[in-house]
Amino acid sequence: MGIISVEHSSNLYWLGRYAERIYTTLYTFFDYYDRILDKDKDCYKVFLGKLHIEDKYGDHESFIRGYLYNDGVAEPDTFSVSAAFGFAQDNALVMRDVIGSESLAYIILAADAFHYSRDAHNLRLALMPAVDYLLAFWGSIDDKLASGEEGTIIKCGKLIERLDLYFRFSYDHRLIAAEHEKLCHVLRHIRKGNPYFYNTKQLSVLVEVVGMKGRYAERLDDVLNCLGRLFERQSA
Amino acid sequence: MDSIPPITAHEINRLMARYGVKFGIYKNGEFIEQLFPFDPIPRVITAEEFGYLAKGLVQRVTALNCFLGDIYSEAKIIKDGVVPEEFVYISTGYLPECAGIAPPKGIYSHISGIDLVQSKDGKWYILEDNLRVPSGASYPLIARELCRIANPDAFSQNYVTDNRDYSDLLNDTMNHVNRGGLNVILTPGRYNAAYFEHSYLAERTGAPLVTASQLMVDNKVVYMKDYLGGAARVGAVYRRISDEYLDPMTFCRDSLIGVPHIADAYRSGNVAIINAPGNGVADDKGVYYFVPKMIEYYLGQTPLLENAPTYLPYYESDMKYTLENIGKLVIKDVSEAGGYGVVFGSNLPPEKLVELKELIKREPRRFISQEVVDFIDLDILDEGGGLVPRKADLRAFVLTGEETRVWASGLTRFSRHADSFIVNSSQGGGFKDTWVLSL
Amino acid sequence: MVTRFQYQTALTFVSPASEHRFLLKILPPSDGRQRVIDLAWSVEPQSSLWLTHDAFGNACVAGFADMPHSRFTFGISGKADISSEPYVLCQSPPPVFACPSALTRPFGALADFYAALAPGAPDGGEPLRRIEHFSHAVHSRMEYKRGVTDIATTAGEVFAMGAGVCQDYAHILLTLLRLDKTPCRYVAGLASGYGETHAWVEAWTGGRFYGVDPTRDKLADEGYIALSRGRDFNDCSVERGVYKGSCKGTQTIDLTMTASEATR
Repeated sequence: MGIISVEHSSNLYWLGRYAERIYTTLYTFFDYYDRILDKDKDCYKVFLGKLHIEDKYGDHESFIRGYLYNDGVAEPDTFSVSAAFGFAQDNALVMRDVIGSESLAYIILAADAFHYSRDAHNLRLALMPAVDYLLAFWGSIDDKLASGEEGTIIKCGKLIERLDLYFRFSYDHRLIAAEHEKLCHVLRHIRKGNPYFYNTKQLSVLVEVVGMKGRYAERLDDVLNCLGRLFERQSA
Repeated sequence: MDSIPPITAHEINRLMARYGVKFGIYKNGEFIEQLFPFDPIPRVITAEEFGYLAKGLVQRVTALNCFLGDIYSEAKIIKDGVVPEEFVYISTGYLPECAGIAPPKGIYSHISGIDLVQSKDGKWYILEDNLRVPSGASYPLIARELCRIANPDAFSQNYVTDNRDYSDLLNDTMNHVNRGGLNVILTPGRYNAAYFEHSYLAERTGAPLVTASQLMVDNKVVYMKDYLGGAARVGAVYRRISDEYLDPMTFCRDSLIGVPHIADAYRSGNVAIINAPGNGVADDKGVYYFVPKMIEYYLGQTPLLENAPTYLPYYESDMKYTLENIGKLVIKDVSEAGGYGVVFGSNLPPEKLVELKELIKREPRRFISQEVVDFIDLDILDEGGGLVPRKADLRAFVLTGEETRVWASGLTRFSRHADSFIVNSSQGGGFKDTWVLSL
Repeated sequence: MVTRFQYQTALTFVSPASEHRFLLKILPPSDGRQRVIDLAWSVEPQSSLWLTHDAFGNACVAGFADMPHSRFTFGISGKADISSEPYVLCQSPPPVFACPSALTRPFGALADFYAALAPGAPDGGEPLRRIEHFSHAVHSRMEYKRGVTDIATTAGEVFAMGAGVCQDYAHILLTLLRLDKTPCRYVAGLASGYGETHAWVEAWTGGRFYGVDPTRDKLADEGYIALSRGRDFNDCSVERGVYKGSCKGTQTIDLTMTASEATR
């Protein structure tokens, strides 16, 4: 592939993060949505707490509309799924020449399907096409950017976001270990001197916390911090 | 052609939305992106007619390139009294900063967008030359791709020249003048009206799409910076920003979208700028009047395509004619573009006509007047699926590389309102695919 | 007369500037009226520098300074032999010098001023008298005042205000001369007794560009060293720059010019 500019590399990284944020938060949201149905109407508060979002919704109904679509929220919530779609689209639109119109189309289709779902009675069914398109997007990216540096950067973004969310939601340690393994695999392709070469100090914190096999809550801030700073330039 | 293809605008517009085919406009200071309304009934041009148009367009663009080369060097056409000095040196499109620069291979207008209309008697007239940053080729290009998906029968039943070679033409054009290094497409950024076009042409040609901050100039050479801290030499810049913003060191000093020192690299012959800066002097509405004379002067040929009948109030007899016939003429302010500054005398109340006459008398150089060409209507599908006639023009794209070629397609724009002649996308016009038949 | 000159500008930034790209028109040419004998120049800081020319033939120092810096200085020093004849030979000036430029468009009151002035201007005989007549009119009409205009103020605007600095005086004179069909150009340079860079006009007549200074109502004599020439200020900025960071803070200029020897 061609030459990658600083701006493009950052767009790729954040496209990876936002596309993944939509996907994983939607799935996690579905778990809580399921619990809201008949068991625990207030469990959405736990969901918000995990994402460090203040509960400005008041009840589960407003939460669902507000968190997904920004409905009834005075200030657009930057953590909402709707906002994440906006950011993903912004980053994808400026990457047409790198990821290709076909990959870009899946982001647009996913966003459109998501916005269509707004008026549906059955949200989970209506949201399925959006999730399908996201998966198609990743298929298209895999196809287009299989072995190039662009593919590596976007995957870094994706896996970092996924680990971030898995830690926040205290996913099972085996799932986390598997994602961590994927990340390490990607990181091995990045050479020293590349801005996406990991910061060894941060990586060792990550390895250490993953090694705890659970009980992540006590090291949560540490691990989120090290994920966010994994590519920080290392002082010599 | 057997039949009108049985597709609805809806299907194509859905496909366009899927691929993010949009253009941006600013409304009340806010950037809004909207679909460029597409009408599925193509404009059809026969092979014979296209052959004739192509000859005329190549002739015209060749003469315009000669004119630019002349104006920025010896200016013989002025010395020989064919074009008055007043129409050149005080034109805002004339850039003294470009005097004496020989662009790579002597080409000034690499990509020319020539607007034509066909009158009711079938005759084609040139309405306007766009030699700076003509836009619009991407829309018929992707529309064709999508129409072939949505309605394959239309293409298996008709002999339509494939227009999807535009990116090859563009690459040939860039490669021909490249001074060593990458071809890049320079965009002002995401919030430009034609950003879709910039990104789509980048994808199709493989030339990286860059903003100014990704380029740098060191010792008169342009480089593209990569994320590893390295830099690759750039040999040709297909820039989609206008001259005045191109280089804050030479032109408008507070431009944030320009590349500092790129004019220096260009002057030194180290990079091709596509199209060359300074072309505005040749596509000015005033200079338009002189293009047929240029064809005779530089090529010794009779123009194959005519201008719409035009008068220059600068000349006494034309001033007289304009003032006497203002009620049936269209008056154009030479400094405006995009369908602005165009006034139909027939639409003005008497007191405004008087005002306009005074203005023309005061600033004769600022205006041209033209007979209103009653150009043909093309049918479009209205929302209910019925056919309604609308005014339409054609922007032909003429690319100059090793040779000058006309893209076998074009952008057919139509007015969305029954009584309007204005087809510009910025004013709500739509577009059609343009079929050039191969038989 | 041989004149020593030393000129330095220091720009300071409110907070550090980085990726600073600049173009400096600080190199005096040898042009027949002035002959540069010695020239040294300096720019600090810089990551890359190169010499180039603009379209008007002015020598320029181009370059950039990538690392953050809160101070940027450039300067020249040297010796020039300046002729007592206030003109430069030129067979045919570029046609644009006869046309209004962005900063010298003849608007409203300024156009009227010309119309009132032209009939009384000396005609025939010595064309230089006519040029001086316009220069004198500008000088009498305007008041020298700092801080009321900036680099984007047009001749029409400054004329309406009735006050400005040397570049404004020059712009008005250029506008009048161009209305009078006399090709003329803006000159940026150094003038003795003037603590900063100066601006005046060169008007073309009879194969010569005569230097006229409307600010001081005199011809540009041995006390004037030209740095660059163009249509108006836009072509002759001593310094153009773009950078990341805060706005410009202060600018200090040091200029000394001393006549050292008689002409040999």
